[in-house]
Amino acid sequence: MQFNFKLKIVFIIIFIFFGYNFILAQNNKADNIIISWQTSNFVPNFFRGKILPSPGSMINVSLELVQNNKLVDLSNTKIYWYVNNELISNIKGNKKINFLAPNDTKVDIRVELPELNILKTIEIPITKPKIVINAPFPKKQVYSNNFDLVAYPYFFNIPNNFETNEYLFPEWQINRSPATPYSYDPFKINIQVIGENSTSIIIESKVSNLINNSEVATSKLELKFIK
Amino acid sequence: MKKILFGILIIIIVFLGYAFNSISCMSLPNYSFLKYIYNLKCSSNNINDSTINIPSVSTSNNQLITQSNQNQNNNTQEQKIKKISDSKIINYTIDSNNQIIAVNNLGQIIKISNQEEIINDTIKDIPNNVLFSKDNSKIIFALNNFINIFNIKNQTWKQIPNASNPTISEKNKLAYLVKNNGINSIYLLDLNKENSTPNKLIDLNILDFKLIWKDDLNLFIVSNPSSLNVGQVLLINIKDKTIKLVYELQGIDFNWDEKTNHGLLFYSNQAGMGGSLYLVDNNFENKKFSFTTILSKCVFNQTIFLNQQTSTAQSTTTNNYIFCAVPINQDELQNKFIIDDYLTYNLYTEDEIYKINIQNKSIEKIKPENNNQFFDIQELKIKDNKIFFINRFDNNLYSIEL
Repeated sequence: MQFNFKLKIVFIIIFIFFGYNFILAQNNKADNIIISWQTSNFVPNFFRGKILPSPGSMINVSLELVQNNKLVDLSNTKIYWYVNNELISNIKGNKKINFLAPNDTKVDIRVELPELNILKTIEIPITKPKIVINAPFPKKQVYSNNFDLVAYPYFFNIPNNFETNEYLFPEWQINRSPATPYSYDPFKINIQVIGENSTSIIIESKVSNLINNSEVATSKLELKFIK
Repeated sequence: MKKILFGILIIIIVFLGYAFNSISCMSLPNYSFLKYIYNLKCSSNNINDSTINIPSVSTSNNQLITQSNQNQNNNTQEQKIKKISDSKIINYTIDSNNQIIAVNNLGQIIKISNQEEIINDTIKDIPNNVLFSKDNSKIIFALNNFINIFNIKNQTWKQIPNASNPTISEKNKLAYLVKNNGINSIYLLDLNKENSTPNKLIDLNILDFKLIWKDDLNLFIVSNPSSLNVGQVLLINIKDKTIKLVYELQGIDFNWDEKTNHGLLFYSNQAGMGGSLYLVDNNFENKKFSFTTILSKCVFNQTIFLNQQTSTAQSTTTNNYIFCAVPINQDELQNKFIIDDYLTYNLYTEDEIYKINIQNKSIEKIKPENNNQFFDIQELKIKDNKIFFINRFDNNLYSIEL
């Protein structure tokens, strides 16, 4: 009698072990849907990170299903694509969609493959265009009274090539007064410090998208000139 | 009868225990029964914060904390820093003759010895990325929508159109992407053979990723990093084309070293701020570092010592290290979108270099002599007894004698 009790306990443990793993195996199906996305906003050519969409950017989204370490042929599987809960495609084998980024901070993408009992949701971040005034000065301290600064534009919704001048218009201010950049490169400005004392320099840059006036980015940098 | 049943149960439990320990997370077992055990062991992203932490790096008082005392004598010595080049360098290599070949920010190829000599200036665009073949015979330029391969010896160029995101294996295999109608295809090219032709490995409906070799047969597919995005690391076998999801995490970045068979994993917190750094071994088991840094600030290094045992027999000892430039102000990093801020130049760091023994986890601080200069360190390379790096504050090349 005592032995049967022990035997029951052991069988229950084994049952729980296999039951748990069975549930885990089912969940793993969902883990292996790879949803990826891409947008082609402008970034400087040295940028090696992920390009983020801004409102109005075209976003391409793709999916692959991996089961048993193999890519699954989904050509005969109905794939439901939802963007912010709105169904935008339910075509067999359609593994990619594209849409314009909404004027928000994120967009939700849901993929459903009901025949395979699979569902997955991802969130795509949406950012405003940015301008970064590159300041390669430790502790933001400058020891030269004559130096150049460059502004780098990111995530503007313009064609991604090197000729930013056609589409982006930078304006500069030094200590709240308008300043003129180099004529050959309006994203670069020369700063000369006149005077004998250490002083703070406030540099502001504003970049406007000439083909989309809602895209404006500003940046402010404070440097300390040390005599 | 009861004893027999009980014996069978014991055997099953022992077998389950053995299977659990022996199954590798690197590949899915063929038998469904073993897949259950595989799922139990490997189903999560293998992130385990409870693994042994590498000891804290002190950043407030410049004192080194080590797990072992074996390197303490070195800590008291200051190493000399030398500026090697006044050019703004994108990437460089040090060949077997200790000669430095570099590519500057104008795309020029320069040889750096006592003075700088331009050996080729054909490229007129600023490259997105520059790589060197492992035998230092070729330079790979990733340009806007094509790859150019420069043969240093013959001074010849070979162009691969529509190609991007190149990566080179220890055996000089080049892998890269070709985009066509929204499909990314991975191609392979043997750089050891002058006339080798590219082979298509696979078409993928996966967007915006980079490639990293794990070994001669396996390639990582890594989402281009952003602190704000949930990215993936996949592993594809180039022989049987099996593919496996290894990690899927917020703000992920990943790197791997073929020689030491170790990698680095970085991911940010749920809101994209800050981040944690992990050492990853060949079974994708992780050890968390108690500091964080940007992956491009670390390099793996392997040292092989020859042990003289007897007149007829010799053995070798292999030590695997990782050298990391670690930002001094760790607290500030936790309030940053580390990947995005660093890659957009919105963030500069002031770094100290640490040498970490992968086997025993001892940490040694490389202490440059105090010259009041700050370094935001990139492209660390170790050659003989020297550390080379590019300082992002001036993009010049420096070395530290160890």
